[in-house]
Amino acid sequence: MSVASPPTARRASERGWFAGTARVRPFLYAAVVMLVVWQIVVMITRPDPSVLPPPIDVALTFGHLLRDGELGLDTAYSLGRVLCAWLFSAIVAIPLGLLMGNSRSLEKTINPFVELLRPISPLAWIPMAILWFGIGELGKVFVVFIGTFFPILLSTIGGVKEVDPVLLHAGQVFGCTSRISLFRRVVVPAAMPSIFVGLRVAFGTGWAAIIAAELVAAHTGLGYLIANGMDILRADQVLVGMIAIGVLGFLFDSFFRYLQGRYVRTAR
Amino acid sequence: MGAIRSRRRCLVCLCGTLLAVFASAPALAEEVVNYGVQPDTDPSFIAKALGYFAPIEKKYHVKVVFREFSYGAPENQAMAAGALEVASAGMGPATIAVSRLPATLVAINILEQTAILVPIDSSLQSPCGLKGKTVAFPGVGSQQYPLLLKALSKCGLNASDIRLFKSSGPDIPILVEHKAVDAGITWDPSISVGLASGKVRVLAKAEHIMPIMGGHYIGNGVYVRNDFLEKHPRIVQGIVLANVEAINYILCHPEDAAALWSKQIGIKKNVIELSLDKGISVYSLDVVPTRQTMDAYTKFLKDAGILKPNDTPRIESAFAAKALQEVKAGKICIVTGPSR
Repeated sequence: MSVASPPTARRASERGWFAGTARVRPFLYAAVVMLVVWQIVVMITRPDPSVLPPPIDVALTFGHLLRDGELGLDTAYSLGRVLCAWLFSAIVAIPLGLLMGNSRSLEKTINPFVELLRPISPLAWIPMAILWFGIGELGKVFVVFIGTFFPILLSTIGGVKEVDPVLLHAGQVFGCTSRISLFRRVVVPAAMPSIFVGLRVAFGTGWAAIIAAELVAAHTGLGYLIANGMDILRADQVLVGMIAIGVLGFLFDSFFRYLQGRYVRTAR
Repeated sequence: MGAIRSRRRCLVCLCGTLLAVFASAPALAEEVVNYGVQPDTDPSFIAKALGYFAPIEKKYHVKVVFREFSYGAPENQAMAAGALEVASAGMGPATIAVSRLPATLVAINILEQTAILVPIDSSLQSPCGLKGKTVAFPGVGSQQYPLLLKALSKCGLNASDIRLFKSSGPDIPILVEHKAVDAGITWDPSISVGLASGKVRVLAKAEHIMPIMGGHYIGNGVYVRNDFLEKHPRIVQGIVLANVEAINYILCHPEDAAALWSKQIGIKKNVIELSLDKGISVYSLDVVPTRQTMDAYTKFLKDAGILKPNDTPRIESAFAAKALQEVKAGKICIVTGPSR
């Protein structure tokens, strides 16, 4: 026999659920407004579906591509490439950034290279990536690596340089007598919020780079899905690819924000 | 007093003249017919060079302006945006356009035009040997992609049995030549450019994979935006006639046609002659897009997953049939090339 929960407890639970969705609500509103505006534009202008399909057509195509596994496979490929390049960037850029932030001479030596290479768009590397790494996965991972490396590196250097001198002094007072222990126990944790921001930003730039790389030389991935949609006048397919990128970008950014929030609280 | 009157008269005359000029301006303005083309051995280039569009330009006070695109997909996007009234593209993009856009296919003006290339010293003897190989192709929306799938399916293979590499049509012979890929499928004149280098050879011609019209694969089609077709059917008729007259000229004077193309699209004359000699691009006066041919081609595209099951291409064969009748009434050499 089930016992009905008291009305006050239920109301409190509902209020709790409503409060819990507070962060998501603005995004849901934005999504609903975009859908409504889209539908109104379609109803008023009646464009050809190959130019702007109605939301319902895109939803049906989304469902179809999801059911037959194509969307999942393309997403997995794109995500795998981005994650691989992003992790590799983090492995190289974070230690390098920590060292560069901590050593003026090292920064002076490496910074000119960074500043010469940084302005070159990852997209400009695509032809070279094909020539150097061929048409396999490595070329695409390289293009994303270029796109993700510099945001992580610069954020890490910035994070180290902006460590409050009071924290360094406090660390010395609390027993971090050697430079290494001060670096490990004070500098690195203090720079972590900035490193997190770099990782978040880099993941976004990585997405932008992989889509461009897949438009040119790939046979899988969300960029390829979009390029094919353009080739065969399937605006619905193009929009499905775009929506998937938007949703994934939002989810990953939220995940990083969550991790960042947790870490910052712990650090405090 | 008289001087003032005379000045007033002059002013009135001037105003009257200006008013008359402005009032007649819309009538005098030429309407531009934007014609999408690709830099290939399209008969429309011959029609333009020989002035075959001039009669309709003069009669209907229009100007046929060629807008060049590197391949079919951006051409279709331009038509979707309303920037083209007429377009000539490979049958893949042409069929996609007339299935998905408010457009209608009015003629098929080139046959064949597709082949699978391999390096000259490749050990491959047929498309069946492509299993596990890297094959360059110009994209899912091209007419080459479904043909490649068809070639594979004849050997019991499918797309997952090979490694596809998307590239631009003209780059494919270069990739094959440098052995960056094991094989490549592309369009002409890129095929003939590759063959002329002596470093690539044809593994399979389109007609061996899918003969669909007069024993050949269908290569290129002419399609028109529906609103333009409804408003200017006579101009459309003139454009189709100009294409058929150009094909007749190509069949009667292949060497002169090669020289004209060379001048227009910048490809060497000997390369174009090679294309005509080897029948890489085939020209036929029978430009009528019949329902039977198009049904077979549409099924082919649906099987390849390029068209949706409910996509139905719009075709109007009357223009091509009438143009064919008019040209046949004059002097013709042969109906289908190569004529050399």
